[in-house]
Amino acid sequence: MSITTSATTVAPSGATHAGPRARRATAGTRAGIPTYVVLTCLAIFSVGPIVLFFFNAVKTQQDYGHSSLGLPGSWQWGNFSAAWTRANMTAGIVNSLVIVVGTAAITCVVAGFAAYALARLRVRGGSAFMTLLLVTSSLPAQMFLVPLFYAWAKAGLYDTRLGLVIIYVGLFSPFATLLLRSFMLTLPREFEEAARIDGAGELSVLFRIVLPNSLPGLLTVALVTGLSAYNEFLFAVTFIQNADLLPLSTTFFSFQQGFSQDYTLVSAAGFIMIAPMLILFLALQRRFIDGLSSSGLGGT
Amino acid sequence: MATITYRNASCSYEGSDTPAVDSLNLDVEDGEFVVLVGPSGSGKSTALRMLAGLEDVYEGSIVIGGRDVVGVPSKDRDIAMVFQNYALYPNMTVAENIGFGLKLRRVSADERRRKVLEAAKLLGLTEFLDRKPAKLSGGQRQRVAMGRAIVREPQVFCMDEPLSNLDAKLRVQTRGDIAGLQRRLGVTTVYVTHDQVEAMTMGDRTAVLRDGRLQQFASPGELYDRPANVFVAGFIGSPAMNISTLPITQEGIRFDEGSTLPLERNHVTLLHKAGLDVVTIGIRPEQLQIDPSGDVEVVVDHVEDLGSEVYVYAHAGSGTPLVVRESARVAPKPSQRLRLRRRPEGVVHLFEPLTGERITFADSPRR
Repeated sequence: MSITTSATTVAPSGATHAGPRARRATAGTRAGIPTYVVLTCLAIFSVGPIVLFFFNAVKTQQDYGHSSLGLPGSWQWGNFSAAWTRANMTAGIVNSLVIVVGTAAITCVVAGFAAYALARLRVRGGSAFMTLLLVTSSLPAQMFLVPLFYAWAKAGLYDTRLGLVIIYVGLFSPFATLLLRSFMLTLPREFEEAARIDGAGELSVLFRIVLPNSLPGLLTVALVTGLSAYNEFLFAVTFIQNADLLPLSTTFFSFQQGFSQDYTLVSAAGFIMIAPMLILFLALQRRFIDGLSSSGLGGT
Repeated sequence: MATITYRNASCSYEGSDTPAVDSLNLDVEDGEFVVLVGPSGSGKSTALRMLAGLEDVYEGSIVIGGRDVVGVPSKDRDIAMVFQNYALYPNMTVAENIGFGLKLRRVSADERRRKVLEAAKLLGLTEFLDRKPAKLSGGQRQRVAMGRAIVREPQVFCMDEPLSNLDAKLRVQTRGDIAGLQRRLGVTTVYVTHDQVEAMTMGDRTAVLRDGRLQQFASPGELYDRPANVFVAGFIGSPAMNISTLPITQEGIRFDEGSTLPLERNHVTLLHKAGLDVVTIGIRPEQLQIDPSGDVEVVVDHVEDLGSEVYVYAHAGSGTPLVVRESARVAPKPSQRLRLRRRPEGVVHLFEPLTGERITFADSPRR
């Protein structure tokens, strides 16, 4: 009898101890239903417009007029090729490619050198320069639009892809420098010291040790700046006039203005525009997220 | 192969008032294995980094093989270094890591391959040559770092706590390997550690540093038997030497009422003549023994039984702590009262109570 009594008195206290631990264990391995509900809502919120966009891109005009939110009645794959030719997207893609690759490459070089100098070398005024980068990258870019326009017109850079690339490099390299600098600070200094003792000069240290080991950071910078350059609209529409030099963002804009009545073609053109970045992001998303979080700038 | 000379070499870090290394003087002979040891912040790593050219020498000079290297960049000093975290280049394979220094010196690819293979064979790394450092165990990484150092056949090896990231068993084995390798290659080596076992077992001579200043530079045996000051006495040896400052009486050192450790009469006279009423004494745990007719009465605080021996931690009546090393068969119990005496061969070290410097007598035996 006494055994039963002791068992019943022990049980409740044991249960209160085991309870929270057990709950925590399930939360760790299997998410609860509310979590799934919230995540599903967020997923629909972010993917929904893209899916809707895609459906509209393959509808006929009548379909679209009848139900702009429903599924397409018949799949009009021809809309894509029609939009491609009518919007002059071949030129748009080529121009965007030149601008994106140019911007990403030059930004990587500029930011790579600057970040190494700020992270490792004893540079006079280094911290003042860091502050300058932080302040200037927080200024609204629109401020520079008018003065740049006059300066570029004078310098013969107006209406050239190079002119736009230079502006983009200027716009994106402060952030890229800060991001790469924090990435390089995470590399142990001993790599460089070991290389110096092994007989490497400063440039060898940079090119054979620091840059190869900063590759994830450089890739993140290339992705971030490439994406920004691809999506940028204001400077592109201000500084490029020639229809053969327009990047995709402005090609799409002028196409939308010209065909404002045909939303299926506009949707198709829009979908073509987002496709490359979507593919790139899906292919490199792990790199992208790793790079941002390991740089210590994940929150920005 | 080269000699190394530190001549009044000093280094201070930005924003610090006191120098990290203060007027260091060391003469390392050709082919010698010298260990720099000290607690953290003692400047031992800084002294090594000054030699490697990774820290600036603000004052004085450092001479390697007859050449003053102050102002000479690391790459032109003909030295090799093994870092605490090994610093293997993550973007290169083991073979590339080992051969990197040769590549920078424009050694031909064939020659490079031959030397890398030779070093890899010596260190048992041949099967890992194509792996990246991330795919190696701690011990293997350590050996790659050694390989990178020896393949260049430098004048000097600098080693900055190369064993501190290994587990205890591997550390013992690698300790022997490194010492053996150094003897075979005959390369002058400066080795930094905070581990006194490494300091006592690996080097030909050991330099003890504290607060950037050299305390003593001598063979491990000399450091143990004739410490130059209280700091060295307390730092070298485990458990540490019993050190306390106590009054001098006619018979010797007074611990408490009825507890006096006898000293040689002439030493007592000399201490009195020098105007000392108190003196700092040091006596190693193994030089005391438990004896019912001993001179000093103590109360046991606790006992550490290591199987082969026991450490008895006790205190004398005045509160002076004392540690005794005894054979395991005589382990006393806590709170037990015991009497201790100095073993017949036991040495009592005497230090100036204010400066902590060793007091030497003309007749004191040298071991």
